Amino acid sequence: MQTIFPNVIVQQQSNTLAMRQMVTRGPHAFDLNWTFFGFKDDTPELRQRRIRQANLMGPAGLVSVDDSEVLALSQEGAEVFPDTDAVLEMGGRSTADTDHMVTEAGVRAFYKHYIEVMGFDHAA
Amino acid sequence: MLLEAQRQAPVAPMASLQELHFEIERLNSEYASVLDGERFEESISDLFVDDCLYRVVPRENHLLGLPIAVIHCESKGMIKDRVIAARESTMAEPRTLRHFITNIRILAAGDDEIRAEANVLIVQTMINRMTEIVLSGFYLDRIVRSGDRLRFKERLCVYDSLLLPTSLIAPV
Repeated sequence: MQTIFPNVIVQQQSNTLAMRQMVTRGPHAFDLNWTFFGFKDDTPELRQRRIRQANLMGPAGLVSVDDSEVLALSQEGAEVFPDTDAVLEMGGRSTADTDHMVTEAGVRAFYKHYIEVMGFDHAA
Repeated sequence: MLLEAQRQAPVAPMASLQELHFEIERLNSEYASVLDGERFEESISDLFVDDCLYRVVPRENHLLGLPIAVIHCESKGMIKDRVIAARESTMAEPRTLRHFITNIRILAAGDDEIRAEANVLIVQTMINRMTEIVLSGFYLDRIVRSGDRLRFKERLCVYDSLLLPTSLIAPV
Protein backbone atom coordinates (compact mmCIF):
# COMPACT_ATOMS: atom_id res chain seq x y z
CA MET A 1 0.00 0.00 0.00
CA GLN A 2 1.55 3.27 -1.11
CA THR A 3 0.28 6.67 -0.03
CA ILE A 4 0.99 9.61 -2.28
CA PHE A 5 0.64 12.77 -0.23
CA PRO A 6 -1.87 14.18 0.31
CA ASN A 7 -4.82 12.29 -1.16
CA VAL A 8 -4.01 9.18 -3.21
CA ILE A 9 -3.40 5.62 -2.12
CA VAL A 10 -2.29 2.91 -4.53
CA GLN A 11 -2.73 -0.55 -3.15
CA GLN A 12 -2.38 -4.24 -3.75
CA GLN A 13 -4.27 -6.51 -1.38
CA SER A 14 -3.98 -10.15 -2.43
CA ASN A 15 -4.93 -9.94 -6.12
CA THR A 16 -6.90 -6.71 -5.98
CA LEU A 17 -5.19 -3.73 -7.50
CA ALA A 18 -6.84 -0.46 -6.66
CA MET A 19 -6.40 3.26 -6.29
CA ARG A 20 -8.16 5.34 -3.67
CA GLN A 21 -8.51 9.05 -4.22
CA MET A 22 -9.87 11.45 -1.64
CA VAL A 23 -11.69 14.51 -2.94
CA THR A 24 -12.28 16.98 -0.13
CA ARG A 25 -15.74 18.56 0.07
CA GLY A 26 -15.12 21.10 2.85
CA PRO A 27 -14.34 20.56 6.52
CA HIS A 28 -17.07 17.97 7.13
CA ALA A 29 -16.99 15.65 4.15
CA PHE A 30 -14.92 14.05 1.43
CA ASP A 31 -15.59 11.74 -1.50
CA LEU A 32 -13.58 8.55 -1.61
CA ASN A 33 -13.19 7.38 -5.20
CA TRP A 34 -12.17 3.77 -5.73
CA THR A 35 -10.68 2.63 -9.01
CA PHE A 36 -10.02 -1.09 -9.43
CA PHE A 37 -7.89 -2.33 -12.25
CA GLY A 38 -6.34 -5.41 -13.77
CA PHE A 39 -4.14 -6.12 -16.75
CA LYS A 40 -5.25 -6.63 -20.33
CA ASP A 41 -3.48 -9.98 -20.50
CA ASP A 42 -4.88 -11.31 -17.20
CA THR A 43 -6.19 -14.86 -17.59
CA PRO A 44 -9.96 -15.26 -17.09
CA GLU A 45 -9.19 -17.06 -13.81
CA LEU A 46 -7.09 -14.19 -12.49
CA ARG A 47 -9.71 -11.67 -13.64
CA GLN A 48 -12.37 -13.65 -11.76
CA ARG A 49 -10.15 -13.77 -8.69
CA ARG A 50 -9.70 -10.00 -8.78
CA ILE A 51 -13.49 -9.53 -9.00
CA ARG A 52 -14.04 -11.89 -6.05
CA GLN A 53 -11.34 -10.30 -3.93
CA ALA A 54 -12.73 -6.83 -4.63
CA ASN A 55 -15.26 -7.87 -1.95
CA LEU A 56 -12.55 -6.91 0.54
CA MET A 57 -12.41 -3.29 -0.61
CA GLY A 58 -14.70 -0.41 -1.49
CA PRO A 59 -17.75 1.04 0.30
CA ALA A 60 -18.97 -2.44 1.25
CA GLY A 61 -15.49 -3.96 1.60
CA LEU A 62 -15.14 -6.69 4.18
CA VAL A 63 -11.93 -5.10 5.47
CA SER A 64 -12.41 -1.44 4.49
CA VAL A 65 -15.87 -0.72 5.96
CA ASP A 66 -14.57 -0.48 9.52
CA ASP A 67 -12.06 2.18 8.49
CA SER A 68 -14.70 4.42 6.92
CA GLU A 69 -17.11 3.90 9.80
CA VAL A 70 -14.52 4.67 12.48
CA LEU A 71 -13.33 7.75 10.60
CA ALA A 72 -16.94 8.97 10.43
CA LEU A 73 -17.38 8.39 14.16
CA SER A 74 -14.09 10.18 14.92
CA GLN A 75 -15.23 13.12 12.82
CA GLU A 76 -18.50 13.28 14.77
CA GLY A 77 -16.51 13.37 17.99
CA ALA A 78 -14.18 16.12 16.78
CA GLU A 79 -16.59 18.45 14.98
CA VAL A 80 -18.74 19.27 18.01
CA PHE A 81 -15.85 21.44 19.25
CA PRO A 82 -15.12 23.56 16.17
CA ASP A 83 -13.08 26.17 18.04
CA THR A 84 -10.56 23.79 19.54
CA ASP A 85 -8.05 21.24 18.27
CA ALA A 86 -8.68 17.53 18.47
CA VAL A 87 -5.60 15.42 19.19
CA LEU A 88 -5.62 11.70 18.55
CA GLU A 89 -3.58 10.45 21.47
CA MET A 90 -3.41 6.72 20.97
CA GLY A 91 0.26 5.82 21.30
CA GLY A 92 1.16 9.21 22.76
CA ARG A 93 1.43 12.64 21.13
CA SER A 94 4.63 12.23 19.12
CA THR A 95 5.11 11.28 15.50
CA ALA A 96 8.06 8.95 16.14
CA ASP A 97 8.23 5.52 14.48
CA THR A 98 7.18 2.52 16.52
CA ASP A 99 7.60 -1.21 15.99
CA HIS A 100 3.85 -1.80 16.37
CA MET A 101 0.57 -0.51 14.89
CA VAL A 102 -1.22 0.44 18.12
CA THR A 103 -0.65 4.11 17.53
CA GLU A 104 -2.13 7.06 15.69
CA ALA A 105 1.35 8.46 14.99
CA GLY A 106 0.60 8.16 11.26
CA VAL A 107 -2.41 10.49 11.53
CA ARG A 108 -0.48 12.95 13.71
CA ALA A 109 2.46 12.93 11.28
CA PHE A 110 0.13 13.50 8.32
CA TYR A 111 -1.33 16.65 9.87
CA LYS A 112 2.03 17.89 11.13
CA HIS A 113 3.34 17.73 7.56
CA TYR A 114 0.08 19.12 6.14
CA ILE A 115 0.32 22.16 8.42
CA GLU A 116 3.89 22.77 7.24
CA VAL A 117 3.10 22.36 3.56
CA MET A 118 0.04 24.60 3.75
CA GLY A 119 1.97 27.23 5.69
CA PHE A 120 -0.63 27.36 8.43
CA ASP A 121 0.25 29.41 11.46
CA HIS A 122 -0.21 26.74 14.05
CA ALA A 123 1.56 25.30 17.08
CA ALA A 124 3.07 21.91 16.21
CA MET B 1 -29.04 -5.54 -23.22
CA LEU B 2 -29.60 -2.29 -21.40
CA LEU B 3 -32.43 -1.98 -18.94
CA GLU B 4 -34.11 0.73 -20.98
CA ALA B 5 -34.41 -1.58 -23.95
CA GLN B 6 -36.30 -4.34 -22.18
CA ARG B 7 -39.99 -4.86 -22.84
CA GLN B 8 -42.48 -6.33 -20.46
CA ALA B 9 -43.50 -9.91 -21.08
CA PRO B 10 -46.49 -10.19 -23.40
CA VAL B 11 -49.72 -10.67 -21.53
CA ALA B 12 -50.81 -14.24 -22.14
CA PRO B 13 -53.12 -16.05 -19.68
CA MET B 14 -54.26 -13.14 -17.53
CA ALA B 15 -54.89 -15.03 -14.28
CA SER B 16 -51.52 -16.77 -14.12
CA LEU B 17 -49.59 -13.62 -14.97
CA GLN B 18 -51.44 -11.81 -12.20
CA GLU B 19 -50.62 -14.64 -9.81
CA LEU B 20 -46.99 -14.57 -10.85
CA HIS B 21 -46.81 -10.83 -10.40
CA PHE B 22 -48.28 -11.25 -6.92
CA GLU B 23 -45.78 -14.01 -6.05
CA ILE B 24 -42.87 -11.79 -7.10
CA GLU B 25 -44.35 -8.96 -5.07
CA ARG B 26 -44.44 -11.29 -2.06
CA LEU B 27 -40.85 -12.39 -2.66
CA ASN B 28 -39.69 -8.77 -2.76
CA SER B 29 -41.70 -7.88 0.31
CA GLU B 30 -40.20 -10.80 2.19
CA TYR B 31 -36.71 -9.79 1.04
CA ALA B 32 -37.26 -6.22 2.27
CA SER B 33 -38.76 -7.38 5.55
CA VAL B 34 -35.89 -9.76 6.30
CA LEU B 35 -33.21 -7.15 5.56
CA ASP B 36 -34.97 -4.27 7.32
CA GLY B 37 -35.70 -6.46 10.33
CA GLU B 38 -32.12 -7.78 10.31
CA ARG B 39 -33.43 -11.33 10.28
CA PHE B 40 -30.51 -12.30 8.04
CA GLU B 41 -29.33 -15.61 9.35
CA GLU B 42 -32.47 -17.68 9.28
CA SER B 43 -34.06 -16.02 6.30
CA ILE B 44 -32.10 -14.14 3.69
CA SER B 45 -30.25 -17.13 2.29
CA ASP B 46 -33.60 -18.98 2.09
CA LEU B 47 -34.66 -16.48 -0.54
CA PHE B 48 -31.81 -17.57 -2.82
CA VAL B 49 -31.10 -20.95 -4.40
CA ASP B 50 -27.69 -22.49 -3.51
CA ASP B 51 -26.12 -21.76 -6.87
CA CYS B 52 -26.94 -18.08 -7.10
CA LEU B 53 -25.42 -14.76 -8.03
CA TYR B 54 -25.96 -11.60 -5.99
CA ARG B 55 -24.22 -8.38 -6.97
CA VAL B 56 -24.47 -4.69 -6.05
CA VAL B 57 -23.03 -2.42 -8.72
CA PRO B 58 -23.07 1.28 -9.56
CA ARG B 59 -25.06 2.04 -12.71
CA GLU B 60 -21.97 3.39 -14.44
CA ASN B 61 -20.26 0.01 -14.17
CA HIS B 62 -23.45 -1.73 -15.26
CA LEU B 63 -23.86 0.39 -18.39
CA LEU B 64 -20.19 0.21 -19.34
CA GLY B 65 -20.00 -3.53 -18.68
CA LEU B 66 -17.29 -3.04 -16.04
CA PRO B 67 -17.21 -6.12 -13.82
CA ILE B 68 -16.32 -4.70 -10.41
CA ALA B 69 -19.12 -4.78 -7.86
CA VAL B 70 -19.23 -3.35 -4.35
CA ILE B 71 -20.76 -6.67 -3.27
CA HIS B 72 -20.15 -9.79 -5.35
CA CYS B 73 -21.49 -13.15 -4.16
CA GLU B 74 -21.31 -16.20 -6.42
CA SER B 75 -23.14 -18.56 -4.11
CA LYS B 76 -25.46 -18.73 -1.14
CA GLY B 77 -22.34 -19.44 0.95
CA MET B 78 -20.84 -16.09 -0.03
CA ILE B 79 -24.08 -14.34 0.98
CA LYS B 80 -23.86 -16.09 4.36
CA ASP B 81 -20.26 -14.82 4.67
CA ARG B 82 -21.58 -11.29 4.13
CA VAL B 83 -24.19 -11.76 6.83
CA ILE B 84 -21.64 -13.08 9.33
CA ALA B 85 -19.34 -10.16 8.54
CA ALA B 86 -22.18 -7.69 9.10
CA ARG B 87 -23.20 -9.39 12.31
CA GLU B 88 -19.92 -10.28 13.93
CA SER B 89 -16.80 -8.74 12.47
CA THR B 90 -17.69 -5.30 11.13
CA MET B 91 -17.62 -2.38 13.50
CA ALA B 92 -20.18 0.14 12.29
CA GLU B 93 -22.49 2.85 13.51
CA PRO B 94 -25.86 1.26 14.34
CA ARG B 95 -28.56 2.05 11.81
CA THR B 96 -32.02 1.09 10.66
CA LEU B 97 -32.52 0.45 6.96
CA ARG B 98 -35.80 0.56 5.09
CA HIS B 99 -36.32 -0.87 1.59
CA PHE B 100 -39.01 0.36 -0.79
CA ILE B 101 -39.31 -2.03 -3.72
CA THR B 102 -41.80 -0.94 -6.38
CA ASN B 103 -42.60 -0.93 -10.10
CA ILE B 104 -42.23 -4.67 -10.56
CA ARG B 105 -42.14 -5.66 -14.22
CA ILE B 106 -42.01 -9.20 -15.53
CA LEU B 107 -39.64 -9.22 -18.48
CA ALA B 108 -39.91 -12.88 -19.42
CA ALA B 109 -41.93 -15.65 -17.84
CA GLY B 110 -40.39 -18.92 -19.00
CA ASP B 111 -41.13 -22.38 -17.68
CA ASP B 112 -37.77 -22.65 -15.93
CA GLU B 113 -37.00 -19.09 -15.06
CA ILE B 114 -38.63 -15.71 -14.68
CA ARG B 115 -36.79 -12.51 -15.46
CA ALA B 116 -38.08 -9.49 -13.61
CA GLU B 117 -37.05 -6.05 -12.51
CA ALA B 118 -38.11 -3.63 -9.78
CA ASN B 119 -37.17 -0.18 -8.62
CA VAL B 120 -35.63 0.14 -5.19
CA LEU B 121 -35.13 3.01 -2.77
CA ILE B 122 -33.25 2.33 0.44
CA VAL B 123 -33.08 4.84 3.29
CA GLN B 124 -31.23 4.62 6.56
CA THR B 125 -31.70 6.22 9.93
CA MET B 126 -28.94 6.70 12.48
CA ILE B 127 -29.80 7.38 16.08
CA ASN B 128 -28.76 11.05 15.97
CA ARG B 129 -29.54 12.11 12.41
CA MET B 130 -32.41 12.63 10.03
CA THR B 131 -33.17 9.77 7.68
CA GLU B 132 -30.97 9.77 4.57
CA ILE B 133 -30.98 7.98 1.24
CA VAL B 134 -28.58 5.06 0.93
CA LEU B 135 -29.31 4.35 -2.68
CA SER B 136 -31.87 4.64 -5.44
CA GLY B 137 -31.75 2.08 -8.20
CA PHE B 138 -33.26 -1.10 -9.55
CA TYR B 139 -33.04 -4.84 -9.22
CA LEU B 140 -32.61 -7.14 -12.21
CA ASP B 141 -33.65 -10.62 -11.17
CA ARG B 142 -33.67 -14.19 -12.40
CA ILE B 143 -36.21 -16.04 -10.32
CA VAL B 144 -36.89 -19.77 -10.20
CA ARG B 145 -39.47 -21.95 -8.53
CA SER B 146 -37.72 -24.04 -5.91
CA GLY B 147 -39.58 -26.12 -3.39
CA ASP B 148 -42.74 -24.35 -2.30
CA ARG B 149 -41.83 -20.85 -3.38
CA LEU B 150 -40.02 -18.51 -5.74
CA ARG B 151 -36.35 -17.89 -5.01
CA PHE B 152 -33.66 -15.72 -6.54
CA LYS B 153 -31.27 -17.42 -8.90
CA GLU B 154 -29.74 -14.05 -9.57
CA ARG B 155 -30.28 -10.63 -8.02
CA LEU B 156 -28.42 -7.67 -9.42
CA CYS B 157 -28.84 -4.38 -7.54
CA VAL B 158 -27.87 -1.45 -9.74
CA TYR B 159 -27.69 1.88 -7.93
CA ASP B 160 -27.84 5.19 -9.77
CA SER B 161 -25.24 7.26 -7.94
CA LEU B 162 -21.48 7.05 -7.98
CA LEU B 163 -21.30 7.67 -4.23
CA LEU B 164 -22.72 5.85 -1.23
CA PRO B 165 -23.05 7.46 2.21
CA THR B 166 -19.91 6.08 3.91
CA SER B 167 -20.64 2.37 3.66
CA LEU B 168 -22.93 -0.57 3.00
CA ILE B 169 -22.76 -3.01 5.89
CA ALA B 170 -25.29 -5.76 5.18
CA PRO B 171 -26.59 -7.05 1.85
CA VAL B 172 -29.13 -4.68 0.27
